[in-house]
Amino acid sequence: MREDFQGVFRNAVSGLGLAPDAAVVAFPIDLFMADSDVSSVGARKREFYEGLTTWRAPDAASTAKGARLVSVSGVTYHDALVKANHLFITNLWGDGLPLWPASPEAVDWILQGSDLARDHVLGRFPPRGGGVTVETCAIALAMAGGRPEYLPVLLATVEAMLAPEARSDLLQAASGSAFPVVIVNGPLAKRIRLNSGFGCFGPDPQRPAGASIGRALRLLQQNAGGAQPGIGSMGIYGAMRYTNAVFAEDEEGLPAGWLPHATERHGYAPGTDSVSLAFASGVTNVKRRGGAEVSAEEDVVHGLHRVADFMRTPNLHCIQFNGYETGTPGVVVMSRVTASEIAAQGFTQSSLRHFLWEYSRIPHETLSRSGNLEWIRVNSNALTRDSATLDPWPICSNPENIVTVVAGGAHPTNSYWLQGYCPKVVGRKIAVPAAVDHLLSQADKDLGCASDVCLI
Amino acid sequence: MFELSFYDPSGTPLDTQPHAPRLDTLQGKKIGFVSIDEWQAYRTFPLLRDLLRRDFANIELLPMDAFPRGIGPVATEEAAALVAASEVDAVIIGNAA
Repeated sequence: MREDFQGVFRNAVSGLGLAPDAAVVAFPIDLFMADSDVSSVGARKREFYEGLTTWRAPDAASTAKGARLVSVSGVTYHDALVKANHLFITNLWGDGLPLWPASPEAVDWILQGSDLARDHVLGRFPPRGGGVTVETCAIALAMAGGRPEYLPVLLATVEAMLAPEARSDLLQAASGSAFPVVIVNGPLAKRIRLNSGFGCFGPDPQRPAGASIGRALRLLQQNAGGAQPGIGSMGIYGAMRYTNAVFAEDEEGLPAGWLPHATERHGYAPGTDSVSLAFASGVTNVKRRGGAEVSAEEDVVHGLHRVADFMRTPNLHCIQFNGYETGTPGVVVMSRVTASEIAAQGFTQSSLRHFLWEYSRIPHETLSRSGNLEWIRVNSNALTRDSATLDPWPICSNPENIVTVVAGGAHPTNSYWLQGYCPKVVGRKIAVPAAVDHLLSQADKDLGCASDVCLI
Repeated sequence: MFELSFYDPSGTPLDTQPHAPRLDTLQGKKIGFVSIDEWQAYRTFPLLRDLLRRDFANIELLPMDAFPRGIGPVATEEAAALVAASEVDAVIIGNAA
């Protein structure tokens, strides 16, 4: 394997429940490039042989249960806080920005957000396989400045991340800089101050839940999952990873007859608190509003063509890991104003996706000159390979694979396209704790009331 | 002095299982190969196979297509079951980059 890939590899091995190492022979990246000199394989053949015969595994990790406590001391509280943040950096526990130390007091407070026992095991966080309990999630949320009422959303998201079909083990390690996109449905979202309007991808001090939840998720990805840049994650660029993308669908803005995303995608009844997890590798703002004096119909059709034009990109990530058949090529986000205009022209959610699917098809000439057809032809999924004969080539096997969500500020000028890198969109219901009303009442006292009449 | 105590966020250690024991020798052994078919595997694996044949008497090398190939198919329970059922003494997996 490549020398710089060993962190990723050790994570994968650990994630399988093995001691975090295995017999490898590592080479510089040069060997793995086209027309390279591979003679060093022969020069180092003994290492291959020894890997099968004399290599010894490291000692197994401690099986102590529960998170361990660490301590720092300072002349003042501020001094101690600074030292704690220095430790986060040196131990690779942080993201470079200031963090709150997850004190027992803070974690106990956050744990009020779940009726599950603190040592309830959710699973192993891929790819490294660090054990994740409710307590582990509360620790991450405390570090990210979260509140107890955010914990149910984080727990549901982690459940979705740990689902095998999400393939987060692969996506965390891959070079394509995939990041989680978490779409929250149901009435809880607004109550906990999760944004569905202007600036819904953050930051927003009036609706801070998404930032803390997304950042806590990233901390779990790094600290429990081992997805450290250049060590456990080969994401070449990163991006969107400080807080990932955590937002609520603007359900109040859905046109008449349109269903919430979670109802369409996962079959949850309207009004169910849920998360829907997809992975994306990029974000693009699409200016969709018409410029000249156009009719309402022209404005809508022109705008949809502009979105389709952005989608008509040979994004080969979306065909990996069966994504062409079972995943999504991406998430189209539109404001309630835009959705209303689209619906007024007779579009349903399904016919909208069909339009986008039809007009985002890519001609073979475009795919061929960039070598993309070859990637499609050698794909491990049969349906994907068969699609190579279609000209123009549809970006996914089924229009319904395209995720469409209503969110963002109530303004028609722009829509948003999150390019997908997603084998499967995974949904999970949120378990709301019995004490939720008390928690939200406390939040109103701490942060001011969450009702619309109180917001600027 | 001010002391701050806080939790290690690395997750809870869970029990691990041991790696497969190593072989005493490669002489006379049965070796399988699992390839993701990327990163010049089509050149490195044949080279490695030649080296093994030359250096070890009576070594049995399974064909490259004895197990699923490609980055998706290799990472499945089906592939693991095939490897287990083949009763190989060892497996070489590659190329990871």
